[in-house]
Amino acid sequence: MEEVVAKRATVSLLAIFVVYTALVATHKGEFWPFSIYPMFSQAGNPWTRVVVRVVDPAQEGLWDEVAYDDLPGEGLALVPNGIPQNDLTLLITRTTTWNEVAVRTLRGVFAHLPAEQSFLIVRVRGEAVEGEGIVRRGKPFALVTAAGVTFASGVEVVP
Amino acid sequence: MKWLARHLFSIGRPDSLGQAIYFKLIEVYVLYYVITWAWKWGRYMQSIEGVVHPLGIANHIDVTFMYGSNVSLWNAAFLSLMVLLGFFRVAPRVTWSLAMLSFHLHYASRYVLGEICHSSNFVGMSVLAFAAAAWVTHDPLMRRRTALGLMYFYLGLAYFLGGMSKLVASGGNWAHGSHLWLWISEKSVDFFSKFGYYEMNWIQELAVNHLVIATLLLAGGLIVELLGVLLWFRVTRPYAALAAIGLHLGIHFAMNILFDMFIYQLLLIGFHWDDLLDRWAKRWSPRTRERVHALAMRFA
Repeated sequence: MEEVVAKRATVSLLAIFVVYTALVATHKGEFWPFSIYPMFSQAGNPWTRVVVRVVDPAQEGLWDEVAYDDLPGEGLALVPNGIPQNDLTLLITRTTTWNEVAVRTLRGVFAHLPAEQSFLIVRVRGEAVEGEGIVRRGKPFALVTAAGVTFASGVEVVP
Repeated sequence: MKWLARHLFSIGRPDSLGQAIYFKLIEVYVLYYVITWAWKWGRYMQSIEGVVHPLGIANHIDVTFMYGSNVSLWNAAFLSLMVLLGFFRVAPRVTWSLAMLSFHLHYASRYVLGEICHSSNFVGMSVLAFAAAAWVTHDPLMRRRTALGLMYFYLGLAYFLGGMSKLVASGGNWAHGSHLWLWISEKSVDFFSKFGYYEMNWIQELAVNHLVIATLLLAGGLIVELLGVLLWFRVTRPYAALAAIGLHLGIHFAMNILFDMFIYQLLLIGFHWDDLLDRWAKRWSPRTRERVHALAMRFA
């Protein structure tokens, strides 16, 4: 009896394994709860993360690329302000074309914060540079105000 | 395969009261997180405007119907009901299977903005294991062992795949300490972005100042991941679990990322808690043992 059930259990294990393999192979390694767990598999590559600054939209040089330590305005701590940081970072870094849904989603992230504040979303890039160590630079990506979202030049926006 | 199956499904091992109680405790853990996430994600979905980066089933069906008219909350209620019925063994084949489908839809509707969250993967795999075990047999003992065997296998496989992904993507050089410097730098930006402050701890300072220590930390982590398959065997399971918990604590201190759900799962299924429960049960009066046994068997 035990051996028979063990055989059936093994068949179920193999069946799940086949489905697991097929789904992750056809869905870029992720089909929850199946995954190839690729976190941190790419070593040594430059990285990009996102920070949000509360700024004066009229400030001069707002859209300039600067060193990470010289970013304009004041940092907005995302967690105390109810913004899921991974959602925001990956929304910014993975979206290539900003269509209406993506723009509305981005506005929605800040919808609960005071309307009089302006939020500058900055992409921070870090890379290892020979002789300089790790260099981090911030490039403004979008400005979210009560009036709407303004993107930096070069960002592909679909009306 | 037969040899591995004997280890995974504990073939030939006598049953005990401790094993029955232990399995129900694992189910309580899974139940708690499924219901918690069902409602947490259900509420979050109400603020989602649309699908930006689809995952799973959202690649094939339009899940935007989940965002209006409280549909996400109805799915949360359905999912909660299914896992509760499964727990109390009401049509377990159907209820656990429907719970799995509903859970997947819930996840695929919640994570549509870009984040690929892995915290819930093991709990999701556990629900799948309960469903599969219910289809394999009606016998309570073998159902428990099938579910546990599947959980051991896929937990071990997850760590092994994590290690293999690194070797395939970056080769043996993955463990070079300078890579950890980059990640520490990346996570310092993340941490500041999240909380508005950041200060290096002593492990990060050691790793940043000594390349050899940074390399040893990465190499150690990689080896632990590749040895995740040792979770498949009863004798080596506690050691592999302990090493994996150490790996997660290392990641927490070196990179400020806490994989707490992975630690809980390892603590729960990586150690022989059933033996401990059996030793404890021996001290109970025969009447108490009988009562607990009857309760555990009622929903076994």
